[in-house]
Amino acid sequence: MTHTKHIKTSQQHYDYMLLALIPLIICACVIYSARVLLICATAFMTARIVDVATAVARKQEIDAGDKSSAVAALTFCMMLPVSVPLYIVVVTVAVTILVGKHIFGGKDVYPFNLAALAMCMAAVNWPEEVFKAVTPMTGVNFWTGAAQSSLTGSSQIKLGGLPYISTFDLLLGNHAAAMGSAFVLVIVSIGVFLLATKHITWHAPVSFLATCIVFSVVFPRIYGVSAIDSLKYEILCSAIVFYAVFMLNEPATTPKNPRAKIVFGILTGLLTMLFRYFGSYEIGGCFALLLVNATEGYWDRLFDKDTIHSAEEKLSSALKIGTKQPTEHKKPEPEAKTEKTVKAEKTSEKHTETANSKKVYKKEEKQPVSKTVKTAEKKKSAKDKRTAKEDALSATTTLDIISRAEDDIDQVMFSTQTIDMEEALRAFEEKYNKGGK
Amino acid sequence: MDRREKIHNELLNWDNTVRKRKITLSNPVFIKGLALAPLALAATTVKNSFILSVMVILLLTPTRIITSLITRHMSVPLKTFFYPLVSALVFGVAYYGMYKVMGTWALSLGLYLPVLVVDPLIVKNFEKTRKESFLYSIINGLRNTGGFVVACMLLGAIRELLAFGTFAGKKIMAVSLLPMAQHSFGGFLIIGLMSAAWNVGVKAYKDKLEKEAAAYESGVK
Repeated sequence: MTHTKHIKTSQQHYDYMLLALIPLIICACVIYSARVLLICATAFMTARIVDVATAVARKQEIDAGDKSSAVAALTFCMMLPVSVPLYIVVVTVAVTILVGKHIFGGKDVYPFNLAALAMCMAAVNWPEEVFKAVTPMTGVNFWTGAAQSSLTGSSQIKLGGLPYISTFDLLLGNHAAAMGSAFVLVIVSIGVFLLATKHITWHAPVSFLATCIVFSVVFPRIYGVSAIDSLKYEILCSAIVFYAVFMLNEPATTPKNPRAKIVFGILTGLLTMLFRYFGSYEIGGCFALLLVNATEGYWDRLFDKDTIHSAEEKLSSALKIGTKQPTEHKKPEPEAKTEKTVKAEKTSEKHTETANSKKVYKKEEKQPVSKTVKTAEKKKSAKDKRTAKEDALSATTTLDIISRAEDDIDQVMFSTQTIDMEEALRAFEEKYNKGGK
Repeated sequence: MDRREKIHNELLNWDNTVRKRKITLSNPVFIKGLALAPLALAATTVKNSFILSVMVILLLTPTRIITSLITRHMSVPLKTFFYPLVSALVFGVAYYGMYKVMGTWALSLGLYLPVLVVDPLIVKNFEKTRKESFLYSIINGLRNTGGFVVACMLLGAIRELLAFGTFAGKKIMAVSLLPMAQHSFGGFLIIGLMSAAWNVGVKAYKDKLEKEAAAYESGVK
């Protein structure tokens, strides 16, 4: 049931990611040329062919609903310049899907982000073609990709310079950069849409962006500008926002636990900035993501262990004692009672116990007793009452639990028309545990 | 021996068949995973692969013959000591011979050639408790050498083609399809893919034999 739900969610995620990539492709077509479509179509087809060929070679059923390769291929394209030769796209996508996805078992089980892997592979193999940025609104040859190229803002920062690009152009993506990763406003809007539709979570992207921002402000590397300007150029000239929205939320390669996601985002952000500051390539985010992907399972296990441990403790205490947990919810702890409450309870109990309670009570109250004796007496009676109360409550709640169990078992029995005590007990435990939480 | 009997014998003694066919069915590189480091690091071109192959031809069989003669009456711990010792001595002679014939060309691989001295391809036999006969050491040494040479030359040719678009220095393609093939990480990747393909080939061969045998059994053929 959970597995089916996960698959469904994962499929929906890729559907929405495909949808989210469309605005970027349109923007890139407007800013650069229709060659963007050619590159995207080539990557898409290559990914699909490799998927089908692998399924045929492994004698498996062809999964038409698997869009992870297509999303990875298109995400990878968005990080390339529009002038990139087509054979680079074909070879990179084919090798990445084959080695990065199918060798590790295929859909939903590959450990490394495919788009990041493809980008790293392309950067290592063809750095000159991959890091060549095309000036926006200039002619690009449709087939060969010949175009007027210029230095990216990121490269200028790397070389120790200051990119003279207006904030407006930086936000709109109207500067020499990769074809789809520079449209910051569009990417942020897509991110908000995906967050609103709950197809991504905020944990990894926000922690990643926050780490990058803090790092840029605390350790500025652009000489002679304010911290805010440094931050602006560091974040907007690179593809950091693109990584946050499109690459840090892939179901197969990011942790599932929210706290693990935050740690994952922080680590990726930190490594991204370190790669950007001290590495040779501009795509520090991709290398960082691949490195942190390798630790993904560890963070999930670490945080899930805590969650499971505490849940187990709660469950065992609830099952063994049976009464503690509901008691905690229904009534406050006896220890937590104030002296006043204890006194009130004491008096009320006395009140009900005897027929001439009021008189006795008044009498007792009036009797002169030393302070120490009074406190000791108070403590003793409070303890006695606590135990009595606990016993009473435990009896009540045990009965309550038994009756709930019987109800649940009855429900299971009536619904299935079979007597499966194990199933009924499991269902009850699950329900009870959920209620306990 | 007719085809039917041959297939029957091959399948019946499959382990023996595999052991004998070092070039194809139990290739020391693609099936057994021996000598991966020198191949991934040094076999980047046909020329480099040729130098590696020549060194293995000069090193492997003589080392096995000499050690089989020397260590015949030795215990396993002593054999462990003698194998690399003999291998190093043979390497010295082979290296000198190669230098005399090929000149500085033989030195172009630098450290990766001496690494072969302690490679499992050459010294793995020390762990065997069974005594190796003189004749068997020659036959097995030659089979292993053949398997290595085929794998090495094939790998060098493919890597050169992918990394530089050339074959033995001659330009074949205008672009380099996978420049990372010239690096060691690319080498490991290609060895991995080739090993997978090789294993698939071996499995396909066995399946084919089994199908043929089944066809003979049912009397279709």
